[in-house]
Amino acid sequence: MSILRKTRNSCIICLVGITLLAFCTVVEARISTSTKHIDEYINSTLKTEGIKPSKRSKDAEFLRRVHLDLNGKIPSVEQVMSFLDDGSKNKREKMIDELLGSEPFIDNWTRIWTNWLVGRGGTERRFELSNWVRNALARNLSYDRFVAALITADGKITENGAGGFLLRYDLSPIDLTAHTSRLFLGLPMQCAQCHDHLTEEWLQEDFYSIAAFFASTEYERIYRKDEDGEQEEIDVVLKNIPRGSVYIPDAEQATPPRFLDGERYKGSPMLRRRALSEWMTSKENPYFSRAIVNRIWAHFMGKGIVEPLDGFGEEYPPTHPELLDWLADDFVAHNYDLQYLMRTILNSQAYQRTSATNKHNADDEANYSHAYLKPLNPEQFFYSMIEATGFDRLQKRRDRGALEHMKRQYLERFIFLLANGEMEELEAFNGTVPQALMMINGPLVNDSGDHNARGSLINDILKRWRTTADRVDQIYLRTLSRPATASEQSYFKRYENSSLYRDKELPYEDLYWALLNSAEFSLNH
Amino acid sequence: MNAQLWIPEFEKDISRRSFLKFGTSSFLGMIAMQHLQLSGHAATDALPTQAEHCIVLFMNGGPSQLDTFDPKAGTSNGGPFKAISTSAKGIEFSENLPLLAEQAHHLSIIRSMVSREGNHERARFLLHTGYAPTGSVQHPTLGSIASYYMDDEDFELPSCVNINSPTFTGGFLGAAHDPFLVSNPMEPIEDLKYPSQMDRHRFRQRLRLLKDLEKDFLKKRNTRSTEAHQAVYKKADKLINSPHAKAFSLNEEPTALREAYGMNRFGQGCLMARRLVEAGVKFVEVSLDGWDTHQNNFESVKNLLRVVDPAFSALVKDLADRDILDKTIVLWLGEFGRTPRINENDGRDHYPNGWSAVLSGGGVRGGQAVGATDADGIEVVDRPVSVPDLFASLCFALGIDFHNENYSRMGRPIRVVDNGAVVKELFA
Repeated sequence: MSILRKTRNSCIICLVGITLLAFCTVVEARISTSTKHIDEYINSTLKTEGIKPSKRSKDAEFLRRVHLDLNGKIPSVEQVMSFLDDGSKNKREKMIDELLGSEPFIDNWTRIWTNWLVGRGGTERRFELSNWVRNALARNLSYDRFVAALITADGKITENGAGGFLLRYDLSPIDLTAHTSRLFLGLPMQCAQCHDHLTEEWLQEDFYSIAAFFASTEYERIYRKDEDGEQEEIDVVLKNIPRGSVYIPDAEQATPPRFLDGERYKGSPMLRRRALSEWMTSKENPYFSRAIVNRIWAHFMGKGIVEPLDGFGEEYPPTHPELLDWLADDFVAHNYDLQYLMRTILNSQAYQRTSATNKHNADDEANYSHAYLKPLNPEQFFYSMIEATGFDRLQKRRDRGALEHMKRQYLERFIFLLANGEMEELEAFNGTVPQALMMINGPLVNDSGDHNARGSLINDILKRWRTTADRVDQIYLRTLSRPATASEQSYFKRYENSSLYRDKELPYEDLYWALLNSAEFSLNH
Repeated sequence: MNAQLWIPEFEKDISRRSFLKFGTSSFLGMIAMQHLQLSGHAATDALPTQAEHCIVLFMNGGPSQLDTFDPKAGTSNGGPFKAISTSAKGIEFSENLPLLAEQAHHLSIIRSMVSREGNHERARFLLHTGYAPTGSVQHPTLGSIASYYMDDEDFELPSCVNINSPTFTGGFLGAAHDPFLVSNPMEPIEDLKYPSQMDRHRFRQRLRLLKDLEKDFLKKRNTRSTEAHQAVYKKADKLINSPHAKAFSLNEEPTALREAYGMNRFGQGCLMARRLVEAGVKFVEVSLDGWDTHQNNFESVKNLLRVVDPAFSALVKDLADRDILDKTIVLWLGEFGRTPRINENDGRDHYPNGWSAVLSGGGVRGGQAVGATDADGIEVVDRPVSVPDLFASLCFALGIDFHNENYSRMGRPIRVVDNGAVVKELFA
């Protein structure tokens, strides 16, 4: 069958010519030196720990995972089919390259970064910030410059959306210090806001010394009168001012700006944020590169080398310290290129293992002996539902604007239902009762799964495919991005035969519903 | 897996039920209950009747204490409103609260709330969890704490409900204790009914199909969350089919009563809260937006109180008429108060240094004011009450030992309430 054909093809390619072979090696070499390091570290720990790793994932498993991780949604049926049919040996590598920087990739990482920066709530000037992020990602702006731009943002928000980050915290030096140190440095400094940190070396004074860097910023809101004579805000201008200080509660004296390494800042207040950003993004700052490398690693691997992500310090030592250091140095050496970092991780064996465990590694939670399960977050879940239910196609008679509006309402409801506090990582899988109600009774699932509704997904599949096996395969491909296994096929046949429905198509509706509600759908595995 | 420990699900259910029955009626049960009480630090002065429900009326944005429950009429900070006497001797409210003034004998006013959080979001977190936000720890909201300690697993409705807007989650207590959100009490609950072609039988058949099809996938994967997933679906199934679900529909209430609460989302939310509590729900929060009155404070407050005064007073009266006020503790507050000084836009700004909260029912002695601010409303001059003190008092009323520790996701032990003490005056 197709597997055999692939093997034979690749043999032929190998024999065909030296030039082609040399070309392949060059392509692989670009990726593999750094990637190889990851696997050396991971595999050697596995060996010392005596844990046998799981096998390489199947193609369909890999494809779904890499789509969810990079594009934030499951692949389409067409994407699955063409990937499974592709016989080339380096097709995973090619797929990773194809996805990195693609339009859906930029969409997805714009959402991810906007959520990391300002949370999921209806934030002031979120639109401007998210456009700025999109633009930065599309240019693959290096990470150090990305962060520097956010911290030093000034001018009109309509011209420099990066300012949305500072505005989100209402320019509060306290909130900005807490969030900046968590997100960009991985440091749990927020505890030091109220008291000296219990387990780490951070003092309350350290916290306020950093906060002082944010104290010399102001904003001005620009209004104009609209047609009804009401005041309408048309812009916000961020600017540095030559004053501003912070006080530890009940302290008489202001805390001056000082870096965490103890060095006092003596320059002009107008340049405080610039000085902070230079210190923070400096190559000498060990936390800056480690925090982001760890964050991206956790996103793909399901678990950070340091957990929690803002837990850098004595209390939560890294599980693979050398690997973390190496990844961070490699990232800096490659000019803080996030896509490079992603490519390095995604091509590793560690990333590409199956999530199925074997007898020896079922309990492993720290050594990456198998791919760890990652619950879909609300956005991944929602966009995967849109893909699986064929929502866009079903609604094709509507214009694009109306469609986007409907989608936004759905998504808002999804997030609304699951709304946590700001910044918290949300999991769609554990779910809440309202979400279960939506999955059980809601129109997004049921309209597409109604075989009597013309143009619905199930109606369409049943019309186009006549045999039970084909129909079952199509439903599996739609929802779980893989064909059904032989035992799944025969299970369904039995289910179909034993069902007492007068309407013989109803079992397909049940199958579709069950798969959309399954753990396999709502986990990234 | 140990084969002897395996009990079929059905039987497990039975045994748990019978244990519960046994537990409440037997000697062993009494010992267990005594033990529970003794382990609570407040056991020595436990309330004669413990509250079983809690209703929070949350004023998003921060309501002005001077224009509601701590009037300073006649001072430069007092603003244009007069103070009126109430059914509680010596206690005056703002003239905007004529109906609540008649219920003041049921109300206990704390006029000395103090906190450090003057930012909406941080203060909202503090007032819902009892903790200032630290980012890394996902503190549960009060309703989730109530759900965690008071939930009866067999109960078919959610034990914690938010009406009008979402708050926070169950945090490290788990998604099972997340509040159930009713986004608009004047409309039917979304997706509470099966679509056409679906009934309970078919739904259960689907659940069985799901379980069978998942088996292979789950066999080789560590998913602690699968059980939670299944549990949520079972809970949803119970809710869809529960006769108690009619507590969500207000049509059964007489029109006169509905109108007394006010035909708006807040008023009807309060009415729904009463129905839910009657049906057995442990915690309901009803919120009202619009209190961030930096501009035009007096006109805005007046309009908002036209909604609050009838709703809050009708709720207290209704609960009292039905003899469930003693079992239900009601709390009215926002994330902070407003500045006593009136700003140049005729507004009041954020003020966490001295503000008011109102309690009623659930063992709280009505007709009193606890704590006080000075003549200008600026300083708390008597009996400051912190947010953790307030939380400790609520827990005390609900019979939750607030010294209990639970573990954060990173394994840190976290007390239900940290650094708080019961405000004894409330219950005296």
